[in-house]
Amino acid sequence: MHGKFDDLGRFADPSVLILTSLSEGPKHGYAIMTDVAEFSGVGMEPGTLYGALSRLEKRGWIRPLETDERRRPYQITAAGQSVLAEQLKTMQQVVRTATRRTATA
Amino acid sequence: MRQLMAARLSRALVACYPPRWKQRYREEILDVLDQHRARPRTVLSLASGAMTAHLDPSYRMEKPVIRIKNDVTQGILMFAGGTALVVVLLFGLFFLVNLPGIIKDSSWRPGHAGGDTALQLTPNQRLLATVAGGEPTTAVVTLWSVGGTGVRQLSSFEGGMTVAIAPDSRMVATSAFGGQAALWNVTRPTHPALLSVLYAGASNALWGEAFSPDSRLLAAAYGGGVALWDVARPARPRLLTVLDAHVGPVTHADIAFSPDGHLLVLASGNSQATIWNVARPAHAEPVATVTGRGGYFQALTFSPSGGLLAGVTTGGTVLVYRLDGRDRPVLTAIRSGLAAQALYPGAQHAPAGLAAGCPGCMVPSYALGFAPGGTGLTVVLDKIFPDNSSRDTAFTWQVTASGGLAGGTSSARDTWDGQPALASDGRTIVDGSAFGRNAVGMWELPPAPVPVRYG
Repeated sequence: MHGKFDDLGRFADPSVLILTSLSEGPKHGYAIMTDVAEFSGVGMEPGTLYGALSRLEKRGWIRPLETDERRRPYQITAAGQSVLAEQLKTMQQVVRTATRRTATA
Repeated sequence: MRQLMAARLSRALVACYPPRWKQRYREEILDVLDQHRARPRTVLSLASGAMTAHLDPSYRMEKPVIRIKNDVTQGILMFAGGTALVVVLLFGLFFLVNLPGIIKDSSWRPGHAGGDTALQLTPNQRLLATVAGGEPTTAVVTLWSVGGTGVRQLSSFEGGMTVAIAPDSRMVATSAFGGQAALWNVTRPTHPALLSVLYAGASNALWGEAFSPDSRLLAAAYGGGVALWDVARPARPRLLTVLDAHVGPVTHADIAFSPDGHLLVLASGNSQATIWNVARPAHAEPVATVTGRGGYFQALTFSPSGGLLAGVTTGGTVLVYRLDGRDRPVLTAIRSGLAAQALYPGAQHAPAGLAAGCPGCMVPSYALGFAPGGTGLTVVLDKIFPDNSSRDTAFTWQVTASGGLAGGTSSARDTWDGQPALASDGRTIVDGSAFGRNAVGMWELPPAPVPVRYG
């Protein structure tokens, strides 16, 4: 199981958004897309979503649940929550630094 | 057009993913595409995703079908395959970007509105669809949210003449430019997306559409018959049968399913309504015919228990039938002269012998519905007068245990001048706007005085 977020490279943003969405509870693909659009304004496309879901599942950060007809809900794992918390901490540090520097500029 | 192409290309690109990936995610992503409004960037994201998945070792087949030992040959084949994939994608993108310019549909004028010809509310009364324009190829479907604070416009998209909302509020059926039925995904009503166009092979006009109560069946009434579609998978609708029914010439063929979805009633232009048994849709058959009085049937509905059928005709005559035997409907109530009574706002009864019409008045538009539990029946009549003023008159009766009508009250209100609709609560009236105003209005009847439960 992977422990670092930065090996997701350019896919880090969709992964953060998906993990944030799933922190609220299990959701299927389209529900994740609509939730992400609502809380972040990011219109995620299906190709991007399922690319990220596939990677997150392989890393053990999310797990698939039983399908409801064609829809399969996903649930964030403990490892996923830990990685998300770590990532959010880094982002908060970036925000604090950027806020301080832009205020003094 | 661009959206339809994007939707088709998106679905085609799902087939380009590696077999292992498709085994795991195909149904899920197709379900998402059923609900998602496809755009050029949807196509790009899927093309990129397919290529990335092919590069992912975990999705490669364990045993290649053809094992190539020669490295040079393998390299040439990989290069040729990659080049072919890029060419196909570029070709697809070229068409995606340029097709709307190549096949111009000059009849579509975005923003054209005015003159509501059809409207429908969802059973939960939160979503309203209206059609404005009234021409087969220039009409606009508008979605509205209906809440405690009033009516708010959500979105507009192309349609024509007729509209139906699925009871689960996820789909809207309207008509495409060619006159065929078209399904739209309105899961996000602010972002409607075209799902599919339903080609039934009929060349006649599409007069009316209705969804079954479980939203899995769509009945589309053409001039030459009624097409029954399985729309459980709306992106891939399946034509089940075409009923050999006489439809039209009428301006709005009313068509309705019974609450259990086993019966379908259809008005025709010869003053009759035919009841079909559609319990097995692919083997649907007519079971009974009822004949209207005072003109054609303008609106038809079943009671919540399915035991009664009510209809109103152009001349303002209400008829109620009991369907105990289903193959032999029994007329249990008839009330006539509603159009004449509508000339007198607030009056309980019109003078005896008054003619149904008035010089210069337009033919009234009607809506009717049972109250929840079948305790009452309300008919709404929108009458437009020679000076283009309009008045809604609502007539309400109690429904007796035998299917008769008792009591009878009326309420009138000067309101919008268009097609009315009655919500499932039997009290809320929504009125569209004819003559160019892109707006809707709502008003509410007082509660029924003495409920008498039928059945």
